[in-house]
Amino acid sequence: MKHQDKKIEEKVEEALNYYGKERYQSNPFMYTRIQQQLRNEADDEKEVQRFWAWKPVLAAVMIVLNATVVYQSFQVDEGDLSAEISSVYEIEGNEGMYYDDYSNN
Amino acid sequence: MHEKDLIAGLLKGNEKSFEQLVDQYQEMIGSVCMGFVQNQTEAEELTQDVFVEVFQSIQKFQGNSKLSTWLYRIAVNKSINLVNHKKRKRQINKVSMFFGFGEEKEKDFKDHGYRSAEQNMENEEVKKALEQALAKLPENQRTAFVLRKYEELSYTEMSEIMKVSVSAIESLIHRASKNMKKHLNYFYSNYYLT
Repeated sequence: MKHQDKKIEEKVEEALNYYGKERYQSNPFMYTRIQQQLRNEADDEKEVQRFWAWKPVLAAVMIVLNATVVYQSFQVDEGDLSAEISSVYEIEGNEGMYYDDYSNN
Repeated sequence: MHEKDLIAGLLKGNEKSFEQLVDQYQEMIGSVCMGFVQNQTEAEELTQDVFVEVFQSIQKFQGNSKLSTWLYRIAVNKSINLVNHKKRKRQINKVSMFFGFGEEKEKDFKDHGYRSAEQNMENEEVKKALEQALAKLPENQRTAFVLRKYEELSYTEMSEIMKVSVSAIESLIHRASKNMKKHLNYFYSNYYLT
């Protein structure tokens, strides 16, 4: 047990002494890599801006579409109403005709 | 190039000045990051991120402190964020392993620079021990330990970077060293038990 404790203590010291021994190696292509990352980020930003630039156009299209649908639905309603009225008149006219036929008889 | 001219060039968006900044400070920033992550690849990625942030926020630099102090602060913040992220990942992985679905994640974790066949296994073990012990330190103790033991900065420089008094720095280093020993002891005790 004592032997193991001593070994652990040695390992701890070894680790603490090792700290700082391995140094950072400068990368000669670091500037190129940074430029590339900045370019990529700028492209992404442009993409987002392009998307948002479409927002007013998209809103206008939606408004026009909605207006068209509402206008068409009114037109259909009016058409249906006049068709319904004319069919009612037609029936009434026919009824009158039958009545006339009956009364004639 | 003189620091004042360099800053003036950076503020104007001069590419040559930025290239000069990278040349001049890459090693300094890289070694701070290395002190935190103990891994060359991750230190390079962090260094790259630091310079990108410097480029994007150079207008915020008011010149109240030295340029190197400002760069140190950004590098320390970025490194701490990465260490904390890795710590969380490790905890999630432990939970996943407990429920029996963390194997794939563990593999990714190792592939991401924890073990490399080319590197000496013994050094890898020491690096792993150091990284885990460092991650267990509170943020301010960790920063003080790295800046002192890895960067060998003076207490005055450290107090400027960390925005605390010199006596606080002394106390932080003392506690950090004590805790590092404790955490390393724990790591190796477990290591020899299993």
